[in-house]
Amino acid sequence: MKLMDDERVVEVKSEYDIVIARAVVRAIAKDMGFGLVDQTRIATAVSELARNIVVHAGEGIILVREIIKGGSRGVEVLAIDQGPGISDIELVLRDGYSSKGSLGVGLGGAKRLVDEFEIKSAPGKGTTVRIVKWLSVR
Amino acid sequence: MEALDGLKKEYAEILREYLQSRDETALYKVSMLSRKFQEARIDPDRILEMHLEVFNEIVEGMPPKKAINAYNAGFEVLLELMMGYAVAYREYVEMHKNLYEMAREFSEKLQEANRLQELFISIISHDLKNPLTTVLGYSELIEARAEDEQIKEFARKIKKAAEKMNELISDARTYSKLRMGVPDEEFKEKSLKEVLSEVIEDLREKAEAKGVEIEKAYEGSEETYPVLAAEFLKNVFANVIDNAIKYGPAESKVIVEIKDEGDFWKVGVRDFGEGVPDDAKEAIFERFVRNDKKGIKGSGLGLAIAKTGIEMHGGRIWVEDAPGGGSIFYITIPKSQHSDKYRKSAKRSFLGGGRRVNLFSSCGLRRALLRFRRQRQPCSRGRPSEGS
Repeated sequence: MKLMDDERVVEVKSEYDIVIARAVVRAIAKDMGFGLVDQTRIATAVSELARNIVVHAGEGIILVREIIKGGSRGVEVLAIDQGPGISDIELVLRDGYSSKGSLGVGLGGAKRLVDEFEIKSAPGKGTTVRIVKWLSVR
Repeated sequence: MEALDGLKKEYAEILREYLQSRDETALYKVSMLSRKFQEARIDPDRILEMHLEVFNEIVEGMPPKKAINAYNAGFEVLLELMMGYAVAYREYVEMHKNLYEMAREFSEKLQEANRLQELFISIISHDLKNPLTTVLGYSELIEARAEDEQIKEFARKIKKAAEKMNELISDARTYSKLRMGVPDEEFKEKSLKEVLSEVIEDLREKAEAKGVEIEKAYEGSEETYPVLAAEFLKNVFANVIDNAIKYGPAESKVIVEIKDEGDFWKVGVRDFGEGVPDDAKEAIFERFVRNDKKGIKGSGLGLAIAKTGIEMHGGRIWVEDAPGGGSIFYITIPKSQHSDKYRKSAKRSFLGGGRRVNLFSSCGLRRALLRFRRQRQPCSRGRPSEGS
């Protein structure tokens, strides 16, 4: 689904969709001029957000777009689900927490890979995670 | 390396898949695999090596142009693996940082508890001494003035018990004071020979009462055996020689020898008693452990005091079976010119004001703890106001 020129939405329902989300964000990041290492960082982080949706909420969407703020360009990703939500956000972000029973790097790990990381959630209200990686000008 | 072999196989499969398909699925798979490498504690350099081995196997025989393309794609796979690995590794480090923090807090609490305990012993023992002096004094007075023989006998018994108690309190006090550390300036140049002579002189009466002869066997008898010693060193030898007299049979000998052993003087105290069983050879130097023997009196602190005391001098104490029966207690003490070196290393195992914390076997952690404490409490020797 394509909303605007630079906005993409990926519906996430299965592990296969995680791969799609990764591919989409990677393609956008590549087009924007992110280097291979940053592409990999973003893909790894998005991978984790998507996995989180599949494992905890069952389904949700991933929104990817380019943003511009104060002359900097960046890629923004929103991961939204209507799942059970998180009661203790701090605990979830703690290192090693989500590694229990899953193979991913966890939300804490994802946070480390990007420049901005925001999470909004409450029990029964679903979860929204927003991440941004800025394109550093060299 | 079995873990690596298994992971290598999985990795090779994914790499092959990606080189053919260039599909994101393979990258996702390798990202998932990365944590397993971290969990198996496989070093990053081994992973790079593994990648090259696997990669070379795959591209062997490929036309050059195709091989170059494959090289770039292979790099993407490796990058994905290392990215996931790095995140997992950072998590691992963070987790250990948290554990370290917990251990540090625990150790600080423990040290504080130890300090309070030593302080408590020191104060209590001091407070006990005054009433005890009264008991001693009056029982002596009764013994001297009573006309009734039986009352005299009762008074003697009271006096004996009070003396015993006095001794116990002194031991407890000495031990707790010692645990709080001895300042550097109390270490002075002394002759080990003289220290031993004083100790032996003090104990001569006790030995003679039991018919025990104390024999000196010093190697190079013209030597003075210089050491850097605190006043306390006397107690170390007094406790050991006193023990030898106590545990040896009546009408026997105690042999005190000194030998030159490299950086150290080695003192041996030999008795002709029953010896110390192997399973007690270390335990007797712990607090309140005594190799039980009926009719032997003591607080059980003597050897613990000796051990703590000699370790503060940078030396060691241990016991061996003497050939032909009995035991030899060996005590080493650094020669005065080497004292600083050995005392320093002994001090390192005493945290803060001289309390030993054997919580951590890792030397690095202990040192880090020591540094941390120094920063927060600059050099507190933890001596409470004395005689208070």
